[in-house]
Amino acid sequence: MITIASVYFAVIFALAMRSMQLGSYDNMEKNIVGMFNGYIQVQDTAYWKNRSINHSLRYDNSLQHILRSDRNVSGLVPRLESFALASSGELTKGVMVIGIDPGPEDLLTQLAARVNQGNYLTPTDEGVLLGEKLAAYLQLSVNDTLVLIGQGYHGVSAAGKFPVRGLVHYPNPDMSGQMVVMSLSQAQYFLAIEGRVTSIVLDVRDRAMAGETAASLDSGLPPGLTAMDWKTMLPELVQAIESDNASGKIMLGILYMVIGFGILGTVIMMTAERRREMGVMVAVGLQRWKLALITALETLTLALIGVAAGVVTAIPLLEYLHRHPVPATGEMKEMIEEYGMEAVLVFSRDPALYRDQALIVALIALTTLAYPVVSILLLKPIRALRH
Amino acid sequence: MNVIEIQGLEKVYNETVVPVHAIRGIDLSFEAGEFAAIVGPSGSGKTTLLNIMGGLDQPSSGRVMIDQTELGRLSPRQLIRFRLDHIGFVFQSYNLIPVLTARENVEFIMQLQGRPKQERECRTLELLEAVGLGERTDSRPSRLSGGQQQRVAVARALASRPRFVLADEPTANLDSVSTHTLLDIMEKLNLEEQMTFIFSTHDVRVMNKARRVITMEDGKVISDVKRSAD
Repeated sequence: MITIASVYFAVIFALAMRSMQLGSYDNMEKNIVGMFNGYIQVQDTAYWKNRSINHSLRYDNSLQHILRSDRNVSGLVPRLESFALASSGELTKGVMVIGIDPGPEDLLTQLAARVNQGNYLTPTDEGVLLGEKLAAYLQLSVNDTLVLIGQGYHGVSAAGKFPVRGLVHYPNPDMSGQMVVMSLSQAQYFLAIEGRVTSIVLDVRDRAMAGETAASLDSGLPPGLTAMDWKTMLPELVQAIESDNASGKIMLGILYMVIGFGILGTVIMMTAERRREMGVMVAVGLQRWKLALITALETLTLALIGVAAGVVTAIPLLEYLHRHPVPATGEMKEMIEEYGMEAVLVFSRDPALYRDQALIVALIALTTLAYPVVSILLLKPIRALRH
Repeated sequence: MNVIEIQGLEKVYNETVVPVHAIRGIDLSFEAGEFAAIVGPSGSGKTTLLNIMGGLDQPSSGRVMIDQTELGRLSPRQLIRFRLDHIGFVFQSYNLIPVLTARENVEFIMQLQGRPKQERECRTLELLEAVGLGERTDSRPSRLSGGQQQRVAVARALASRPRFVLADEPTANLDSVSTHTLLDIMEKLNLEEQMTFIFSTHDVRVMNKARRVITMEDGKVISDVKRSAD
């Protein structure tokens, strides 16, 4: 019972810890990549280093046909991005202006669901959506008017007045304080750049294949255009995830050691308690190797019961935590927000997580079997009978 | 014909530090069907002699032959098999396997020998009835008194049909009624099955039942008296 309990709790702790780590990386990726960047973008080759609308590209049917021909591409989300000065009354702020195609954009980023005041945009809408923090800063609410002043295509002046259609809740605080979203047609009109976009975000079916898809598309694009996956666009995010994953693995390694010694402790205790019984069995004629095999199978069975019980308990627990992320508080909250992410601890429910952790704990339990097996093989019945 | 022959047996513990001579040059032999007691004060070497005869301990020198087989020449694996087929053990503190019932404890030995199920069941029931526990076959050791546990231990010792049974202080933890019952059972089995019984004991009641009394002191045999059966 003690062995089953030690393995049971070991599995739950290992699963909870790894689930939180993987869930955090996934959340990081979704926050930064899925929320805005997308997993693949097609741009003018000069745009990534010099984000000017002068390095825009023509969004025509032939380009769309090339992009849609890849099996992993499920949708195209065109964007026109620029910077402008936003003003309301005597308040001004530098903002990011993004022109979007409302339908495809919502499919990729679920932007409509984040509009918590007012309405989402229509394809020919003349209004704008503001990040909540930006609206608060400019003291604007729905149906108020925003003034934008900027620079359009090839240096033309861009200025306009836009009614506020809605306020958007972005989990990323930076985005919430900077974003002005308008329909693509309105943005092209405002920036005097008809028919062009600065990037096309590709919605993909299998995000794990984003790198391969980008490389394949890149080779088939017209000259002057490039396809980049999110890892190329956001190397600092990849680095942050990798370094956190490395420290997470060290923590997990420490947990495995604690688990291993916990299980070993119960196995040592079990072996010591049964030493006399084992001595009797060998004295009356049971071969040591048979006794070692029986004990190993018995302990292994107990460990597997513990693993199975642990996984069965962890499934609903992690499912609940996945659906109800734990809000981070204090220093952790500040740290997460510094990365520009929503300060919640999200738990992963990836099936591979259960398989991996169950296997690792089972392997640890299997390793601890060495102790009773060696003890039995070296057992002196005379000493064991005096035990 | 001798079942057991012991020649020039010596056992020294802690040979490299402070040597303790537990057995000092013993020569003994036992015939089939003997009912012998090895007596002597604590530390006289009774238990050590029994352990060496049972192949549970190794002598420092000398040899033990059982049915013409020298125990010292057997590999550890062969020795365990030899014990299983030739020697029955009864220990002072019973040493039954706590998770098994009386029936399973007895049957376990025959299972190790690879005996067929039907034979095992018949022999188990026969032995448990012979020791007066036919009604308690499904009781675990914790449900049995000390005397009953020791009777199960005797049944277990006989289960493999060994050439002889070694019993180390079998009555040390028993009251007088249980002691008499156990001795009567062992004497009956000795006579009926022609099984050799060798005890180490302090108990006068056991000595009185024995037909041969070997007295030890300081690792030596100081007397060896054979008596006729009454």
